[in-house]
Amino acid sequence: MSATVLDKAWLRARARAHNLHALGVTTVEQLDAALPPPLRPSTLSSTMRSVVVVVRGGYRGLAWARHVPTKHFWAGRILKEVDDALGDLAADLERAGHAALPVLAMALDYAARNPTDLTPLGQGTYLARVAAVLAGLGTLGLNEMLLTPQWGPRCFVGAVLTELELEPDAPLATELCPGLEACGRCAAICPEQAIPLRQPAGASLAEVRHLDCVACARATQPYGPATMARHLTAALDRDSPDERWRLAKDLTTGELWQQVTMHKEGAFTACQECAQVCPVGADYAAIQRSPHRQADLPDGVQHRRGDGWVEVQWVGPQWRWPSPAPEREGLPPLTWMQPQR
Amino acid sequence: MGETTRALKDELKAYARAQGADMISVGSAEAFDAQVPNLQKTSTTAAGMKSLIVFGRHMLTGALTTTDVELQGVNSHMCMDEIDRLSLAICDWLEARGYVGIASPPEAAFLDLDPVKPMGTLDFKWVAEFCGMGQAGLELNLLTPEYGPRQYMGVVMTDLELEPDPKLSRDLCPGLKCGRCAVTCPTQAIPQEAPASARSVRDYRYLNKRQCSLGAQRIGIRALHLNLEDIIFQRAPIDPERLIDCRYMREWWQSNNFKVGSFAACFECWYVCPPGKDFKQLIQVPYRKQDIPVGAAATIRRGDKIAIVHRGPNPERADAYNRDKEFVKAGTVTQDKE
Repeated sequence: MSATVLDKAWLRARARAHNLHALGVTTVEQLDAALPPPLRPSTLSSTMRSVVVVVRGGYRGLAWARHVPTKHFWAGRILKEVDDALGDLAADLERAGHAALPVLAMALDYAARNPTDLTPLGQGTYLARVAAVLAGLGTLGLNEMLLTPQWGPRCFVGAVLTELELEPDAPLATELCPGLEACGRCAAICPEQAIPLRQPAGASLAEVRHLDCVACARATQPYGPATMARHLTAALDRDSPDERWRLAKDLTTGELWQQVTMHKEGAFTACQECAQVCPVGADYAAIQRSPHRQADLPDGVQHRRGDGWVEVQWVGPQWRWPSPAPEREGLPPLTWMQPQR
Repeated sequence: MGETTRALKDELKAYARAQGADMISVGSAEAFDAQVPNLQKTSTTAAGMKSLIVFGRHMLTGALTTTDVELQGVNSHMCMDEIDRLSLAICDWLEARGYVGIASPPEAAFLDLDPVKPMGTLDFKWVAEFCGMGQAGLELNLLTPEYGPRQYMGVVMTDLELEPDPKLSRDLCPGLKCGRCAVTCPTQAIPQEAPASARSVRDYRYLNKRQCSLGAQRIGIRALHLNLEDIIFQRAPIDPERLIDCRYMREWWQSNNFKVGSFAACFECWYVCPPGKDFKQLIQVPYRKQDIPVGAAATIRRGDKIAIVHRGPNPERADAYNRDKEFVKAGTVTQDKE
């Protein structure tokens, strides 16, 4: 490839042309150092030097709305658009003479990654989120989502690896997330209690930040691959044809079919509760005008303190979809659906 | 409404058309909700919405000239993908100006609204009729002056108050005075008779959705259920190899991956509907002329009713629809190999 001189201003202009709203750069070396071995970019390609990270802001309308499946559907479509835009950006880099590899959210290599990589909300891969932090686009919240100054966690993030050497951006100097002790809204509303609800008093965000990815996936991927495996197993395990038929025709089968056929990426974006209540982001004031959002956590967040611990009182969401999440009692945990970070 | 709002509406419409919408209309969200009897209203999705923006994109006329229904199916889903893109583009436009935009999912049937009757959060044809973009015809397709029934639609709701467009002042669908859609419908899902005293098709338009789905969603979830039922209860001796290596299974795989056959899979009523500027071009195609040969559709009088005589689609396509039991039939040991 014949190299063309290009800079970050050129890249930002290309990103804007693809409806991507923010762009930052880190190095493969830095990102390798920040990630557990199976998730490192160097495992994807040995020739790449830089990581171009992009963010697409979410729609205030989706955060405003009450109907959960509508949000779920459109978040999936936006995730698809982001993946498509990563491909377009990579093509721009290659036209300029630099090999580029988009790291696509939907490319789940089940030997190395599993769907928990996209929790919470399907915001993007963990690789892309950590890359965004290193590139100064935001910081990780209590729930391990990328929080940005513009959209808080209400955004999608993706990454393109390139052999082009680019000057890395600097991370933000301070955390954007106020943490459990000062806020804890995401933990209070999470339907699966997947976000830490208690911490030692005074502990730093870095010490407490965590997500129970498997629990989160029950809400955010209610008809994803894990549910399909459990549902089929449950149906095949039944001895009587009547029982098998009951499971075959129940709503879970219909929803699984709909996810596979129509919702596609939406299979990973069903729950957005934690993102909707997060006060970080310039868009938050506009979202708070929504009567639905005003009714979230109506009494705010109650903290209980004692014995050197701080605890957030769990409230849960106003609506739960599906209600309850499809569960198949008595089945062993799925060995491939385990946390990776 | 002030000049500013009017200018904003014109700008929005110009933007949507530049993005690829063939038609666009606007209505009041509150007034629409007031006349809807079920949950398919704006307030189901969000409170505080003031306007509904409905737009359409036509199915390529060329795609309707082909004899290959699967190729048509892929084209219809490409058209619907464009509706997705346009929906988000209109939301982008609104949000860049400080308003909220929420698109209604165009191809999802939600079970949370009614677990027995899956439905969208809005019924787009009624939104479109309310906003003056067209009229729901005898078979409940939306008909527009530009493309008759041959388009797909999207709807975006917003807190921006826009001046509503006027409703169409005339019927586009002559009802059973034409009745071509009912004559050709392969599953007889469209009314075949109506009171002769009816003043407008609006008095008797109807679609038997269950019947329609036999053709339009012939490799969808219902067919899957019906086939699973027979297999689970072993109602016929099944040869697994035949069951798995059959045409239906291959098409089922295709329907899951590319939506072809899962829905929007029957276009018979579209081929023959005369309204729309595109119909002149379509009916010139020799293959389309055979759908209803000249003189094969006529309105007759039956006492105090008017009626048509059902004919069905071109016999070439007689086996294309209602494939509910094909999977099991293909797998039964009494069947000859394909």
